[in-house]
Amino acid sequence: MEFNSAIEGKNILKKYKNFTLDIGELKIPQGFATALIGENGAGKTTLLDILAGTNLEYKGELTFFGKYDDKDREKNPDVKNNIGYTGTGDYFFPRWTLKQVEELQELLFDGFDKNRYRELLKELAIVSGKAFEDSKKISNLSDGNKIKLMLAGVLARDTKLLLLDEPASPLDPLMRDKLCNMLRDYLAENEGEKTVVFSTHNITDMESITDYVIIVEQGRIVEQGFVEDLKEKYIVVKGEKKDESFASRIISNLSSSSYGFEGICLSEDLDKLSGLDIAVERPTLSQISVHVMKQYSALAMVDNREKTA
Amino acid sequence: MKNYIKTYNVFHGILDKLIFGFGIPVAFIVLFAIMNLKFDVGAFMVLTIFMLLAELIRDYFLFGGIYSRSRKCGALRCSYYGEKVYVGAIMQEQLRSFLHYAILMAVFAGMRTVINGYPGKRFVLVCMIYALLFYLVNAISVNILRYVTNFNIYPSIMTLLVTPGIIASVFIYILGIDKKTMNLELCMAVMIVLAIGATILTYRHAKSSYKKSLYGRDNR
Repeated sequence: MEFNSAIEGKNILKKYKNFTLDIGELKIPQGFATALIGENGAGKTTLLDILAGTNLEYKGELTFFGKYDDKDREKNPDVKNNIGYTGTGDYFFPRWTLKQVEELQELLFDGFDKNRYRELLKELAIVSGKAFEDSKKISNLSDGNKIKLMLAGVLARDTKLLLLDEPASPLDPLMRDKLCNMLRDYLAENEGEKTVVFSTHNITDMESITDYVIIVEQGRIVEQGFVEDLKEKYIVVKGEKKDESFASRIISNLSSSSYGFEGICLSEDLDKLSGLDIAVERPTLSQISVHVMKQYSALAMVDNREKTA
Repeated sequence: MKNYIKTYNVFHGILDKLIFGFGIPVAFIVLFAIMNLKFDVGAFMVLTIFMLLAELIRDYFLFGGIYSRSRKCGALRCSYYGEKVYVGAIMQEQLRSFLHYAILMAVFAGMRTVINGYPGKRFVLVCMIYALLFYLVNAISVNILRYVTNFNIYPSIMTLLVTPGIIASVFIYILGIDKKTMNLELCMAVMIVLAIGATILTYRHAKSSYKKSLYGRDNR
């Protein structure tokens, strides 16, 4: 499927002592929600930090909104003003109060709408309108409320791109559903112009909002594509115990029980299983992600080494 | 008895014993002596030392850990205006700190003049030198203390940093007011140069720490 890119990247290289992020080619489709998926330490946060400009120590080329490069991002206020980023760790200093956070965001971002921000704080149940709530400290907020505060900040701005690092992790299921609705509404404004990129481990909860997926493992992109295309590319296969050993030659990471087996393989490999008594199903995004992650993750490699030994 | 000593050592580190067990009591004895011997003009020096300590404790609650690697404010770093706001806030604090000491000294000097009469030019010069000296000590101290994120060790490091300033203030008092042997004009000129130097250092440090937070290598 052809698409315009909100962000394009080439040969992005970031080296740490024990980890290297090495992305040959990156294309984030404009007008869609892209999920960055991968195990802990796969490089999702590093990639988002590089895209947001909060980590400038990397090599490679980046293009934003089809016309700005990463030098423009640092020199032209329009680029960063159009990118809303929420990160992990100390996004706001823990001793700041809600009042200070509001004033800070007015200073930091040109398109910050204070009234919209206050509405969002109420909508997200961070404040209820009682007295002295402005003096509540960040350190006294729960992890979920800290995320909601960051989201209120970025959604109260006039942006074209949201980069959200693990927005769903500390949220309760109800709030995750609300987050999906809010992101859907965000994408619907000026249809086709706004883009969301988020990293997540809560694949099932966030599937309803996900249009495009990038799976990162050990610093590399190992799979990417539109969700619907990936659901065509992979297929869930279930079969009886007697066929398990044959099926395991085609299906990697097959899970076995006393009744039979289940696994995912490429749809194009389905012909190789002809003759077996199998049932097939359309996979969920979570099943595809786990399948891909099992193939490339550091954890799977340790497991495989242990099995071989 | 051995176990009592062991138990005491478990809860009291060497820094605690040296600073709070020995250094601070001695410092207070010395201060007490000075206040008793020369309470008149020396009182404002002692009070300003307490003000310096209070200012540094205050700085922890405003900027504590702002230069440390573990305290990276994402909101500032993802904004185009992040550096401007960050450096601006630190330099505003420098200006506020200078005005704080200058006004405090002016108030003390004014009160002294009202109560006991005008004490002379040397007294006014010493007041101005003190304002600059305490600003200087404050500026140098915060540049180091803002790396500290743990309040448990903050007072120990703070005490070590302000001690030379306190000793200098005592010498300036003794030689400048008591014995009248110090060239106060020269001392004032030196203090102005040092205070300007500390301000420039703070500005450059703030800028470089912001840049380092964007470029600094994280351990992984």
